[in-house]
Order: sequence, then C-alpha cells, then structure tokens
Amino acid sequence: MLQVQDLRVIYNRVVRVLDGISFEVPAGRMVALLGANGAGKSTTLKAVSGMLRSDGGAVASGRVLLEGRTVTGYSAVRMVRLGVMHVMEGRFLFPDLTVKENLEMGAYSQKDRRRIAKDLAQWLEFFPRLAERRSTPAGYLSGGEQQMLAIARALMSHPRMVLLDEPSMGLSPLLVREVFRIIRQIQQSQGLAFLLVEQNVKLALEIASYGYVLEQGCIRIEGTSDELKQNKHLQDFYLGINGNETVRCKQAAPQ
Amino acid sequence: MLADRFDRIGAVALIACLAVVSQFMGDYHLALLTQITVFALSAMGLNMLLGNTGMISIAHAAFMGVGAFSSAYLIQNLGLPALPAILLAGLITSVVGMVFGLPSLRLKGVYLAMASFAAQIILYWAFEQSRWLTGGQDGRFAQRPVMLGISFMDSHRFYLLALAFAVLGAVANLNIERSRLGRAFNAVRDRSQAAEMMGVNVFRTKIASFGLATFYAGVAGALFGQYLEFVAIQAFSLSVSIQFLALVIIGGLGSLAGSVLGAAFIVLVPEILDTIILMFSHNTGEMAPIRLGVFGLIVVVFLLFEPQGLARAWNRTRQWALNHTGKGSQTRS
Repeated sequence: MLQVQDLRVIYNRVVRVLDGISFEVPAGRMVALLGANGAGKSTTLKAVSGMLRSDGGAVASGRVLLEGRTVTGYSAVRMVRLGVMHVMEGRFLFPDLTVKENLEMGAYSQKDRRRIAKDLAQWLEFFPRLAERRSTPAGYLSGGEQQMLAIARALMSHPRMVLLDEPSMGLSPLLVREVFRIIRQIQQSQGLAFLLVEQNVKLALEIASYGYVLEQGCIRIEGTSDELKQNKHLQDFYLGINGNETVRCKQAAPQ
Repeated sequence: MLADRFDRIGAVALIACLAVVSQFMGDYHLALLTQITVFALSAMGLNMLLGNTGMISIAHAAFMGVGAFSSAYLIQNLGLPALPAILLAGLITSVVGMVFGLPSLRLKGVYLAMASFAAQIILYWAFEQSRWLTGGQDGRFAQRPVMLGISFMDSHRFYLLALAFAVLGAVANLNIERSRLGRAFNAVRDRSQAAEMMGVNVFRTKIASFGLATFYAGVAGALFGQYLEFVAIQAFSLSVSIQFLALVIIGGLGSLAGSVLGAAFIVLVPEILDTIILMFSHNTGEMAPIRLGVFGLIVVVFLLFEPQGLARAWNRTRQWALNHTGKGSQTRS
C-alpha cells in the first residue's frame, strides 16, 4: 500500500536526517519502524504524512508512493483526504476541547454528518473510558486515556492507513500493554495498515508482522518480527536479551 | 434546552427593547448607543480573529478606515447606492485584510502583532497620502444613506439601521462559530499542528479569519463614517486599534456577548468617569489625564479579577438567574 523509495530528508536546508531509506507497508498489515532516539523514525512518519513542512523539513530526494501513486511532498490536507492519518508523538490533542469535540475534529475531513454521528457512537462504544469522559476537556484525561483519544480521533476520518508515533510514551507498563492490545484489535478488525514507530522493540514486534530498524538515518536491519527477535544485533542493542544491560545495571546500582 | 431558550428570548427582548427605547432617547444617549452598536459590530470581527482563531491584530481601526473611506468614495464619487456600497466597502476591506494577513502563515504571537502593527502604520500612511480618497488631514464628508427607499438621515432612524447590521453580524457570527470553518478556527487556535493533522488547511483558515474579521471592520467603518457624517483619518489611528484590542479582551475572547459588552464598556466607562469628574471640577481639560489614568486602572483591576472578561461575569449572572427562575437544577456552563 505504502512504498517509500530512497527517501532523503533535510531540515532547515542543511541537517540531513534521513539518508535514503526504503521500506514498504502492505495493505492491512502492521509494520514497525524501530530504532533509538534521533534515528529518524518520527521524521519518516512526518515525511509520509506531509507534516514535515511545518517543522522546517523537506524531502530532498526519493519517492513516496501510496497505492502506486506518487505522493511525495503532499501536504497533510491532501494526505488526510487520501486516507493517511498521522498520530504524532505527544498525542497533539486539543486540550481545551472535550473528548467528544476532539473526536468531531478528527472527522473534519468527512462531510456526511450522519456518518460522523454513527462513527462517534461506534468509537465511544469501543472505548468505554472515553465514553465516560466524553464531556471532559482532553487536557484533564490521564496519559492512557489521551493516547486512546488520539487513536480514536484518527479513526474518525476513516483512514486506510495510520501512522502511529510512540504510543507507549509516558505510559505505565501495564497501560502500554493495554494500549497495544487495543491497537492490535483495531488493526485486525478494521483491516487497517499501520506504520508503527516505537522504542519498546519487544512490544512492537509482538503486534507488528514486519519491522525495519533505523539507525542514523539509514535502515540497518529488516525482517519479519520473528526474524528480528532472533537477530543478534537487535538482541544486543535493543532487547537486552544477552544480559549486557542487566549486568551494567547491577554495576551502576549502589552497593 | 432551557439555557438556549433563555438566551434566545433574552436576545430578542434586548433587540426589541433597544429598537423601541432608542426612538425616545435624547441625542446624547442615542449617540452613545449608536457608537456602542457600531463598535460591537466591528469588535465581532476582531473577536473572531483573536478569540476564535488566536491571531492578534493591532490594525483593526485602520481596517475600519478602509471601509469608511471606500464606502464614502463609492457613494459620493462613483454614485453607488448605499447598500451595495457598504457591502462592497466590506469586501474591499476584506481583500486588504487578507493581504495583510499573509504574514500569519509564518508569524505567531508577538511577531504577528508586530506585522499587524506594520499594517496599521502602512494603512495610516496611505490614508494621509491619498487625498483623492480620504481628503488627507482635512478628512471628507460622508452621507447618511437612503436604503431601499428609506432615508436614514435622521439619527433615530440611523440607529435602527446600525442595529439591523449589528444583529445580522451577530447571527452570522454565531453561525460561523458552529460551522466547519468555526471549528477549524478553534482548532488552529488551540493547536495548529493538530489541526493540520486532522486535515485542516491551516493557512487558508487563517486567511479566512482575517478576511472575515476585516469584512466586519469594513462594514462597521462604513456605518461609523456615515453616522458621523464625516470621516477623519485620526479616527482610525493606532490608539483606536489598541482600544479595540482592549475592548475584545475586556469583553471576553471568543464570545459574542463579549464583543457587545466590551463595546458598551469602552464607550460608557469614559463617559461615566467624565460625569464623575465634572462633579469635582469644572475644568475637564485639566482632568483629562486623570480620566485616562483611571480608565487604565479600571481595565487592569478588571482583568485581574475577571480575566475571562465581562462575558464570563455575565455568564455567572445568567446561571444564577437560571437557577433561581428555572425549576432548579440546570448545570450547564
């Protein structure tokens, strides 16, 4: 569904963030984009969704294809219309608007009022926590509720593809599991394509079917989730399975 | 909804009351009322820009000037009938406003304030230079209109015309707030990046807000000039622009009631202060600086205790009235 070919992104005309990356997200599948801080994951999502421009970034070369159609450098307005919805890191809710109003804003690109009302009812039913707090300003929600709202708001526009940035940010481990369970449920029931950016590699590989590891603006490793889980490099640097990290932690701890 | 019906009945009653009572008013009080009405109309525009879209403009008076001068020119020099001339003046102002709104694509907050400050300076300078349009420092005359066969030469009649425009402006204001565009305004104000994520064309929304705000300013300016029967460039100076900014902030950002209450405040408080000062001194000229100082003090104290403006205070009163007249428990803010 989404193909990215040799994408290079620069910020403020000089800082190169992505150095020619290529990847693919098949329709109805969840693909994870993994990597450390500053590897260029969020930039990749912004380059696809058209949110790069307001950040001072630009696509220097390469192509973004959506179902075979070239959409490189399209504005966010056009990408939303084409069914690509971006849930940015930090959720970007409207803090003063209520839960319900936030959801209605999600349907901004939709014209059919009756369908919007139906969608609203549907997603409130799917997220009972949000239904309970429908009249509460989004700024007063807990972190987990905010993340659910950000996802639900994106779904209000009937996307075919969701770019989800760091859904685990600032959530307790228990909540992270809950959020990921819900993401998987939505992805499977709606048949949506997901491009998931996540630092929690272990969890991401549990729900994604394929993954790419980004390091310093390049893709280092790619493979199915099972392959990646077995990958030595990934185990050493991201999963901490070989025990290096635990040892370091023990040494660092007092006494 | 009890609260909605309460508001609607209240609004209709207020308009009817103003229309009737104004016809029995003396010249002095009618002049104040007309000024409040025209200022309220103008403030609705600025409030949509500042309160609903979150963009500051300290050139609102200059835009009123564009409307006032262009309507006078259209009527007197080009012989257009008054009604199309006023609307066309609004459109001209709107186009000028959108052009000066272009920097809002890149600028926010204080930087945007500086850009609009530049707009005020440029427009004011253009007024001074364009003697053919404005009469320069001498100003120019403006006629009270004849519209749809009705003459509005008489001050009492003219008030009804101003009221009609203000009511139309208010109805449009409420409808825009509830529309898709209105939601886009709020989204851009609260978080423009999130708005963009939802598919809102942020730039177009901002320009639309400038266009609307300045359309209101243009129409109000045209009426203001006709009411005074004379348009002088000094009426559209920077200090008047700042006064409008204060009006909207004191009244309440993003609230129609705020635009109206703020206009009443900005017109009436100085008058009341004058009356009080006259009780102690017969030399108003000498007391003028004191009047300004006291006015400023009232504004500051007011904002300290009611930062959300008069509209909020009004809302509280309304809620109290609802709770005491209605059947008790109405918990809607």
